[in-house]
Amino acid sequence: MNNSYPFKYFYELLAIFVLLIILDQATKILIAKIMFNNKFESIEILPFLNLTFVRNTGISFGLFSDGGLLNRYFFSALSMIIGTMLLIIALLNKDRFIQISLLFISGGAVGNAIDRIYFGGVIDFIDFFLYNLHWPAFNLADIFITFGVILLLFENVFRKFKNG
Amino acid sequence: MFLGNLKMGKFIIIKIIFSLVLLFSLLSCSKLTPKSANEYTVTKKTPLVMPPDMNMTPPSNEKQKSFYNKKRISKKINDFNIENILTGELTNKNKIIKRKKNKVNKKIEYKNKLNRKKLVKTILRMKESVILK
Repeated sequence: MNNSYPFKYFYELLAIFVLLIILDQATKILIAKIMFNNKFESIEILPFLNLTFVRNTGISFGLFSDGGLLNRYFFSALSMIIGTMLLIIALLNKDRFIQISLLFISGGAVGNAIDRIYFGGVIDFIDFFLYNLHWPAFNLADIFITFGVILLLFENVFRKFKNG
Repeated sequence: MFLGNLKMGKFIIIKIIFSLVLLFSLLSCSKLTPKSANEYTVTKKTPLVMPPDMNMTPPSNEKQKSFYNKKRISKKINDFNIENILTGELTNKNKIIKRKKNKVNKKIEYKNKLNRKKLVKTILRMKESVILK
């Protein structure tokens, strides 16, 4: 009876969702303050990791970053819609694994959308590099999205095959 | 059985593609250029201006030299700050200027000496001629 109830873990899931967004926004604000004090020059933390301050107005790998104001509204609306849709799907879903993976994706999407609305672009600050080869700078929301998608892929490929 | 597996496989592939599209559309990582230009530090070059007279010849070397010397002197005068005085850099600069001045004075003195000798010689010759007359 309880398992058929769609909003069984409603508050728990909502709390995780809000926590993810707060975590993402807090790191971005903290990094922005640190960078402001450091005159926006990158800080070396490890020999392969820097803290930088990049504002991305486009999507992944800096694509469509020259779109202007229309670009900003389009991508912020897109990520907001996808984020809320995934949140609703996660709340309605019965599988705990899918629920968590969708929550991570939606949390990251909404976090980036908030950035696009308030700052006009997503703030990226984690810069991994090997000598002169830099991986595109990313943020905590990107980590959430990637983690969620990996969980979703894992569920699709491995768990389905296990079940037959 | 086989068809069922094929359908299942297709469904999984569609799901994988969907999740990858989701990933690329929601991610917002940005490519870092090695030294991207800072928009606040970029300064525009002033446009080229036509000279006032196309027939004007360029100034001679001596004139140019004197012009640059004047500029250097004015720069030296402007270089003196309170910081220089406090740090003691001014004394060093003063010493260098004094040395240069001494060199110039010595040259002038030498020239004056030569002129005096010439004058004395001419006066003596004049006197001799008068006496002889």
